[in-house]
Amino acid sequence: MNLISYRLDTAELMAATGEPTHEGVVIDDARFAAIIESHRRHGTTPRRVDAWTIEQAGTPPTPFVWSVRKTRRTLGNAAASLVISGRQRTVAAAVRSEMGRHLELAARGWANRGTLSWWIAEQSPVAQGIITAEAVAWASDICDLAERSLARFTASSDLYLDLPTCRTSWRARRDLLTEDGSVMVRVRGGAPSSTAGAGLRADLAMATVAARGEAGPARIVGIWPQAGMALALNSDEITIAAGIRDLTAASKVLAGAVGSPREGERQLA
Amino acid sequence: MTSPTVTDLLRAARHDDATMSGEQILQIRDVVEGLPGPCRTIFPRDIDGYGGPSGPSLAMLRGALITQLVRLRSVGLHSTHAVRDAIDALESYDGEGDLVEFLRHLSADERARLHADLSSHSQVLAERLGHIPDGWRPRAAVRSAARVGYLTLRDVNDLVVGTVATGLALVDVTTAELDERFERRLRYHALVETLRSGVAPTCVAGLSTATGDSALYPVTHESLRLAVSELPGVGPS
Repeated sequence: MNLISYRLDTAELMAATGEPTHEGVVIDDARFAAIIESHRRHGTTPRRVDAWTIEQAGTPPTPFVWSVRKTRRTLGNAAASLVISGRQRTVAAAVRSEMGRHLELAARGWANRGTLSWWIAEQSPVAQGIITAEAVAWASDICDLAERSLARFTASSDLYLDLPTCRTSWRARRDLLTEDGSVMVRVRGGAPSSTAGAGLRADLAMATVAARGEAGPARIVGIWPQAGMALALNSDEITIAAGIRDLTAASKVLAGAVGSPREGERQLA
Repeated sequence: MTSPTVTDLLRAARHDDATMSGEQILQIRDVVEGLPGPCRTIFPRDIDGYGGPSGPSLAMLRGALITQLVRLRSVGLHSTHAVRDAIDALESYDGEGDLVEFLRHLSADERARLHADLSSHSQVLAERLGHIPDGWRPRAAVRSAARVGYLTLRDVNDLVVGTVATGLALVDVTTAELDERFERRLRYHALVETLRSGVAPTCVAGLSTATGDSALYPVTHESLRLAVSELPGVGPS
């Protein structure tokens, strides 16, 4: 995999997020149909696949439970979007506005059990303060990166793609996107793991498939602000094909068509 | 006349120009990169000798609870029941952590002691930190790491204000005194941030909730060189 490593000083950040000199890969209808077919072959058990599934070698995720740490990205990205688009002047005000929106949804009875709005409303005022502080820290990192990059970024929602007829949902995580969509950025906590590249490749492949008929992103950049590191991966036919293969394999594992690699390791032990 | 709060000190230093050139920052990075192996990870406790890798203690718990109060203050939440709020905050953030478990196992006497201790420290925090404007983009308990050469330097900043583009200031709130060991830790914060982001913070500030003392130091080429020489296993250059 052709991962390019960058430090997070301003010059290298600009290089990592600068305008790509090549176009992204185009997935045509025939190839899209082949992707659907390869997923259908392994049953129609409902499956949700994302980069984390790939990084964990298809190990089924544990049931999702909200926690303070898990809220920071959702709230922080929404707040960063408000700041970058000029709808809020400060990060703290933007996060408070997002918190208020969630609390209002819950107060109106529009938040289902298990949703973020419902969970936030269940927390004590102090816990809500800590949630706010976490989101402010996340959003500040996003805004800082957007401000230091040469490219014009918008804060982006994640990308969801349901593969028709095979009950498989893909979720590509992306935190920043250039206005022309050519560079997508994922921001993550901690330091890059040994499988981080495979995760980035999966996100890039999902975004490319989702752009069906048009060029997908030309580059994905994973940024680990805490570690001061960035990894960039350019899009080309080989990279996207490998990403799609990983996604198909993960889908197979989740459908129970083959044992997960980790299960295999346990049996051997 | 009342002495200035940490926010006052930061406000006064806010318009100071960065004192370091890109070339000087590269020099610092080169020096760290050239340090001999083996690979090792350095934590703030290796610099100042406070705390250790052993299990939780009352002092660690007190520090963690004060950190939660700093987090709440960083988003404008000024608690009226500091002790209760600090515990609530720690439990909501790290409900399964060792410190919360330790807290649950304290005896009535230890709890009473912690309560008294925290009340005093939180009062000093409330009076001496000051109100940090939203526009300074304050964020609390910020973890950072820099991997350079054979070294991985890990750090946590109690409070960071400003941005890399406009100038950063790092604030350390300690429940100990502002002594020489603490100054070493402040220099370490500045070094890790410089290596992480490639930009030196404008200044580092400290507040002792034990004594109410506060101090602010500009980050200079000399202070970063000193910080490098203070890394474990590195002699004065």
